[in-house]
Amino acid sequence: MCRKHGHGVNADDAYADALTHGRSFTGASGAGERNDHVTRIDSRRDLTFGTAHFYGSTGGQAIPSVAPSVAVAMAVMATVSGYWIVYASAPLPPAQHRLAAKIAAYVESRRGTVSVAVHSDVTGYTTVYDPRREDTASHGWRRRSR
Amino acid sequence: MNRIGIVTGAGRSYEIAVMTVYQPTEAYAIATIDSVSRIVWDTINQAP
Repeated sequence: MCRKHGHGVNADDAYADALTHGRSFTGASGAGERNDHVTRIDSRRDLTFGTAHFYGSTGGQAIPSVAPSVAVAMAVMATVSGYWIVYASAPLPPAQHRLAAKIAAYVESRRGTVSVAVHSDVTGYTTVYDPRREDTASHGWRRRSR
Repeated sequence: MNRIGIVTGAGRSYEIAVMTVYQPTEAYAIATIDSVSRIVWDTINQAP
Protein backbone atom coordinates (compact mmCIF):
# COMPACT_ATOMS: atom_id res chain seq x y z
CA MET A 1 0.00 0.00 0.00
CA CYS A 2 1.42 3.32 -1.02
CA ARG A 3 -0.07 6.17 0.90
CA LYS A 4 1.83 8.79 -0.99
CA HIS A 5 0.38 7.89 -4.34
CA GLY A 6 -2.88 6.47 -3.21
CA HIS A 7 -2.58 2.92 -4.39
CA GLY A 8 -5.27 0.60 -3.21
CA VAL A 9 -7.96 1.31 -0.73
CA ASN A 10 -5.97 3.30 1.77
CA ALA A 11 -5.48 6.27 -0.48
CA ASP A 12 -5.75 9.14 1.90
CA ASP A 13 -4.83 9.91 5.45
CA ALA A 14 -8.28 11.37 5.87
CA TYR A 15 -9.75 7.95 5.35
CA ALA A 16 -7.43 5.97 7.55
CA ASP A 17 -9.90 5.90 10.36
CA ALA A 18 -12.68 5.19 7.92
CA LEU A 19 -11.07 1.91 7.11
CA THR A 20 -11.26 0.88 10.70
CA HIS A 21 -15.00 1.41 10.55
CA GLY A 22 -15.61 -0.76 7.57
CA ARG A 23 -15.54 1.92 4.96
CA SER A 24 -13.55 1.78 1.81
CA PHE A 25 -12.04 4.56 -0.21
CA THR A 26 -10.54 4.71 -3.63
CA GLY A 27 -8.95 8.03 -4.25
CA ALA A 28 -7.21 10.13 -6.78
CA SER A 29 -5.88 13.63 -6.81
CA GLY A 30 -5.00 16.30 -9.25
CA ALA A 31 -2.10 18.67 -9.20
CA GLY A 32 1.33 17.24 -9.30
CA GLU A 33 2.50 13.89 -8.21
CA ARG A 34 -0.89 12.56 -7.24
CA ASN A 35 -2.45 13.08 -10.62
CA ASP A 36 -1.56 9.69 -11.93
CA HIS A 37 -4.53 7.79 -10.59
CA VAL A 38 -7.25 9.74 -12.28
CA THR A 39 -7.27 7.20 -15.07
CA ARG A 40 -8.06 4.48 -12.59
CA ILE A 41 -11.14 6.35 -11.51
CA ASP A 42 -12.05 6.97 -15.13
CA SER A 43 -12.02 3.29 -15.81
CA ARG A 44 -15.04 2.77 -13.63
CA ARG A 45 -17.85 2.45 -16.08
CA ASP A 46 -20.60 5.05 -15.96
CA LEU A 47 -18.68 7.24 -13.53
CA THR A 48 -18.67 10.71 -14.94
CA PHE A 49 -18.82 12.48 -11.63
CA GLY A 50 -15.59 14.06 -10.66
CA THR A 51 -13.67 13.18 -13.71
CA ALA A 52 -14.93 16.25 -15.51
CA HIS A 53 -13.10 18.39 -13.01
CA PHE A 54 -9.85 16.74 -13.75
CA TYR A 55 -10.16 16.87 -17.49
CA GLY A 56 -10.72 20.57 -17.25
CA SER A 57 -8.35 21.46 -14.50
CA THR A 58 -4.63 21.81 -14.42
CA GLY A 59 -3.93 21.80 -10.77
CA GLY A 60 -6.39 24.50 -9.96
CA GLN A 61 -5.70 26.86 -12.81
CA ALA A 62 -8.71 28.55 -14.28
CA ILE A 63 -10.34 26.84 -17.20
CA PRO A 64 -12.77 28.14 -19.80
CA SER A 65 -16.25 28.55 -18.49
CA VAL A 66 -18.73 25.88 -19.37
CA ALA A 67 -22.35 25.63 -18.47
CA PRO A 68 -23.78 22.65 -16.62
CA SER A 69 -25.79 20.48 -18.93
CA VAL A 70 -28.50 19.88 -16.37
CA ALA A 71 -28.80 22.03 -13.33
CA VAL A 72 -31.16 23.77 -11.03
CA ALA A 73 -29.67 26.79 -9.35
CA MET A 74 -30.73 26.96 -5.77
CA ALA A 75 -30.91 30.64 -5.00
CA VAL A 76 -31.98 29.95 -1.47
CA MET A 77 -28.61 28.41 -0.90
CA ALA A 78 -26.60 31.26 -2.34
CA THR A 79 -23.67 32.15 -0.17
CA VAL A 80 -21.08 34.85 0.00
CA SER A 81 -18.49 33.26 -2.22
CA GLY A 82 -20.32 30.58 -4.11
CA TYR A 83 -23.49 28.87 -4.98
CA TRP A 84 -24.86 25.42 -5.25
CA ILE A 85 -25.91 23.64 -8.35
CA VAL A 86 -27.98 20.57 -7.74
CA TYR A 87 -28.47 18.06 -10.46
CA ALA A 88 -31.99 17.26 -9.52
CA SER A 89 -35.30 18.96 -9.15
CA ALA A 90 -36.02 21.26 -6.27
CA PRO A 91 -36.82 21.10 -3.46
CA LEU A 92 -33.80 19.38 -2.10
CA PRO A 93 -34.31 16.53 0.30
CA PRO A 94 -33.47 17.61 3.83
CA ALA A 95 -30.28 15.58 3.91
CA GLN A 96 -28.95 17.20 0.74
CA HIS A 97 -29.85 20.63 1.99
CA ARG A 98 -28.08 19.93 5.24
CA LEU A 99 -25.02 18.70 3.42
CA ALA A 100 -24.86 21.73 1.18
CA ALA A 101 -25.19 24.18 4.03
CA LYS A 102 -22.51 22.54 6.12
CA ILE A 103 -19.99 22.40 3.32
CA ALA A 104 -20.66 25.97 2.31
CA ALA A 105 -20.22 27.19 5.86
CA TYR A 106 -16.92 25.39 6.22
CA VAL A 107 -15.51 26.32 2.83
CA GLU A 108 -16.20 29.97 3.43
CA SER A 109 -14.14 29.81 6.59
CA ARG A 110 -11.09 28.65 4.67
CA ARG A 111 -8.57 30.58 2.69
CA GLY A 112 -8.28 30.18 -1.05
CA THR A 113 -10.93 28.75 -3.29
CA VAL A 114 -12.56 25.40 -2.81
CA SER A 115 -14.94 23.56 -5.12
CA VAL A 116 -16.77 20.53 -3.82
CA ALA A 117 -18.95 18.05 -5.64
CA VAL A 118 -20.68 15.07 -4.14
CA HIS A 119 -22.73 12.44 -5.89
CA SER A 120 -24.77 10.16 -3.69
CA ASP A 121 -25.38 6.71 -5.06
CA VAL A 122 -28.18 6.33 -2.55
CA THR A 123 -30.24 9.35 -3.50
CA GLY A 124 -28.90 9.94 -7.00
CA TYR A 125 -28.27 13.58 -6.26
CA THR A 126 -25.18 15.35 -7.38
CA THR A 127 -24.45 18.48 -5.41
CA VAL A 128 -21.81 20.96 -6.45
CA TYR A 129 -20.36 23.84 -4.55
CA ASP A 130 -18.97 26.07 -7.23
CA PRO A 131 -17.26 29.28 -6.16
CA ARG A 132 -17.59 32.06 -8.65
CA ARG A 133 -13.91 32.71 -8.68
CA GLU A 134 -13.17 29.52 -10.51
CA ASP A 135 -14.94 28.03 -13.46
CA THR A 136 -15.38 24.38 -12.87
CA ALA A 137 -15.95 21.83 -15.54
CA SER A 138 -19.50 20.90 -14.81
CA HIS A 139 -20.28 20.34 -18.44
CA GLY A 140 -20.95 16.73 -19.16
CA TRP A 141 -21.84 15.77 -15.65
CA ARG A 142 -25.03 13.90 -15.47
CA ARG A 143 -27.27 12.27 -13.01
CA ARG A 144 -27.04 8.55 -13.27
CA SER A 145 -30.02 6.63 -14.43
CA ARG A 146 -31.26 4.57 -11.58
CA MET B 1 -4.59 20.26 -4.82
CA ASN B 2 -7.53 18.31 -6.10
CA ARG B 3 -8.87 15.04 -4.90
CA ILE B 4 -11.62 12.71 -5.93
CA GLY B 5 -12.79 9.56 -4.26
CA ILE B 6 -15.35 6.82 -4.09
CA VAL B 7 -16.56 6.21 -0.57
CA THR B 8 -18.74 3.31 0.50
CA GLY B 9 -19.76 1.71 3.75
CA ALA B 10 -22.08 2.07 6.71
CA GLY B 11 -25.04 2.78 4.45
CA ARG B 12 -23.22 5.41 2.49
CA SER B 13 -22.15 5.28 -1.11
CA TYR B 14 -20.98 8.39 -2.84
CA GLU B 15 -18.35 9.98 -5.00
CA ILE B 16 -16.68 13.19 -3.98
CA ALA B 17 -14.46 15.66 -5.76
CA VAL B 18 -12.74 18.54 -4.05
CA MET B 19 -10.70 21.17 -5.85
CA THR B 20 -8.63 23.71 -4.02
CA VAL B 21 -6.62 26.63 -5.27
CA TYR B 22 -4.78 29.49 -3.63
CA GLN B 23 -4.18 27.45 -0.52
CA PRO B 24 -1.30 28.83 1.56
CA THR B 25 0.43 25.49 1.88
CA GLU B 26 0.00 21.90 0.81
CA ALA B 27 -0.76 20.94 4.37
CA TYR B 28 -3.46 23.57 4.52
CA ALA B 29 -5.00 22.20 1.34
CA ILE B 30 -4.95 18.69 2.73
CA ALA B 31 -6.59 19.86 5.90
CA THR B 32 -9.28 21.61 3.90
CA ILE B 33 -10.01 18.53 1.86
CA ASP B 34 -9.95 16.28 4.89
CA SER B 35 -12.43 18.46 6.71
CA VAL B 36 -14.76 18.66 3.75
CA SER B 37 -14.58 14.91 3.44
CA ARG B 38 -15.41 14.49 7.10
CA ILE B 39 -18.40 16.82 6.83
CA VAL B 40 -19.72 14.88 3.87
CA TRP B 41 -19.26 11.57 5.64
CA ASP B 42 -21.00 12.81 8.75
CA THR B 43 -23.88 14.35 6.86
CA ILE B 44 -24.63 12.49 3.68
CA ASN B 45 -27.46 10.01 3.47
CA GLN B 46 -28.65 10.69 6.95
CA ALA B 47 -32.33 10.25 7.54
CA PRO B 48 -34.33 13.45 7.13
